[in-house]
Amino acid sequence: MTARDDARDPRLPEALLTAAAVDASWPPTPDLRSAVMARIMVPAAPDMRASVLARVAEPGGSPRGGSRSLGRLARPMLLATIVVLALAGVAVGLGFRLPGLEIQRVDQLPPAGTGLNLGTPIPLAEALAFERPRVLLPASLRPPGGAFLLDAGIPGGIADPIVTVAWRAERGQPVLAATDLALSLMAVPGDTDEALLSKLAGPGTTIEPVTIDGARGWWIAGAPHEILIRQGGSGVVVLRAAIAGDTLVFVRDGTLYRLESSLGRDATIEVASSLR
Amino acid sequence: MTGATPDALEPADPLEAALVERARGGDADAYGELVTMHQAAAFRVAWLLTGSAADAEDAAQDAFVKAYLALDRFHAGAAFRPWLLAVVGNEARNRRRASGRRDGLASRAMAAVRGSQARSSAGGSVPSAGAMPEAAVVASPELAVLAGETRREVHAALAALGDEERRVVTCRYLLGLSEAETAAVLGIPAGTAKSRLHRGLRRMRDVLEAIAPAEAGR
Repeated sequence: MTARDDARDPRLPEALLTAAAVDASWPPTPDLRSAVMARIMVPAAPDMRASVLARVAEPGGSPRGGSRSLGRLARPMLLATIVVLALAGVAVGLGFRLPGLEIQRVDQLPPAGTGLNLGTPIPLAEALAFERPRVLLPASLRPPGGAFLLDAGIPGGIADPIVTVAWRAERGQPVLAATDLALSLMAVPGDTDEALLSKLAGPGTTIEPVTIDGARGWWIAGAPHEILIRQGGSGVVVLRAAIAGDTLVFVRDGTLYRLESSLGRDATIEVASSLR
Repeated sequence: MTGATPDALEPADPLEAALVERARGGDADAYGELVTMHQAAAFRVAWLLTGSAADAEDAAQDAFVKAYLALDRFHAGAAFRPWLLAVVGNEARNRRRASGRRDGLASRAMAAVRGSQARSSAGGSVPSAGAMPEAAVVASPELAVLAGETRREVHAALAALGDEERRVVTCRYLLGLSEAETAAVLGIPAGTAKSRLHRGLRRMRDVLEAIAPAEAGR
């Protein structure tokens, strides 16, 4: 009996659908286990445990005097909740954000141009004189090779200056894609909810929560992502867009720091930790 | 959660129930086993609802984390998958609602790039990698999985359905979900899922019967 003969069979849609399910072309399933395990196995900070235990305790009882279900279930759940929220920031329900920055997942990156224009070269002393954003230098590195200012030179204007300092790679040192730089450090006002930077990350890019001297941040690595520099104020106006390599972002004292680095995760975190 | 409570309707698999119990006791590895068992179903459900692999991955991942944190509210002895998929469905629907804002940002990024390419760059320009293909979201995931020649009839019949009926039919047959799971994933009452499924299959039958004479005439 052919499929066309079956057309009068009232079971036909069900039968065809069941057959179609066998060789349906679903997109490949990503490895969710690793990511989920990384998020639920974040170690608890000692100083948080006491406050969490106090919150877990039933009214009128001591932390250890709670019900068995609280002791065995609620306590680790609450611990995990608070630790995840503290270290991953907004990963649960709020998206990837830092003051001055938002990171969004996309299936494919929009086309990007020839590179990120860091702005006008300025003397290093001028870069270090800014109060907002505050430019710090890593104590673990030699002085940077250049400093740049991105501000009113952009058509349409930009509400707050963005200052970048950069280091050229030494002989044999890995470089950022299509440059002779090993590291660039961008300082962006990070004291408001307004995002001056956006990052678009594709499926091949990993976004890992990290801490830099207690400050939360993200290590964005793997496939290149895209960075957008946005105009401040209401609305979403993108001023610059470019493809970027491995990047660490974190906020300290009202400044969002963005380190695009060829040095790898641990070395970049070490550099960030030495900012003075 | 809206609609059905599928975890009360379906009994647990003994192996799965043991893993859930261990996970409830704080055994993260046991929960990892549950993730491995159900990640394909979770991702496909999320992809079906968002139409985007990136959103689906994030929604499924967030759903697994939220489910872990809410294990103390899970009914012992009930099947884990229906409960999990309800969380996945909720996450995916939230992401679909948020996608409009993101798409707007991506399109503005493209406009900015075109504008900056037209201008000559000055100052400290750091060249980087070349252009990437444009962003895309699958308009109808249900039909995308049936893009093969051999499934042309099913494709045509599914395409004739409205979005709501097509999602129910797809969950039930292409994803292999139970009726209760389908209702939970879509956030609708079980009776609504049942009636949409009935209407969808009836309409598909009509389309297939209409297609058959045309196919025979070729």
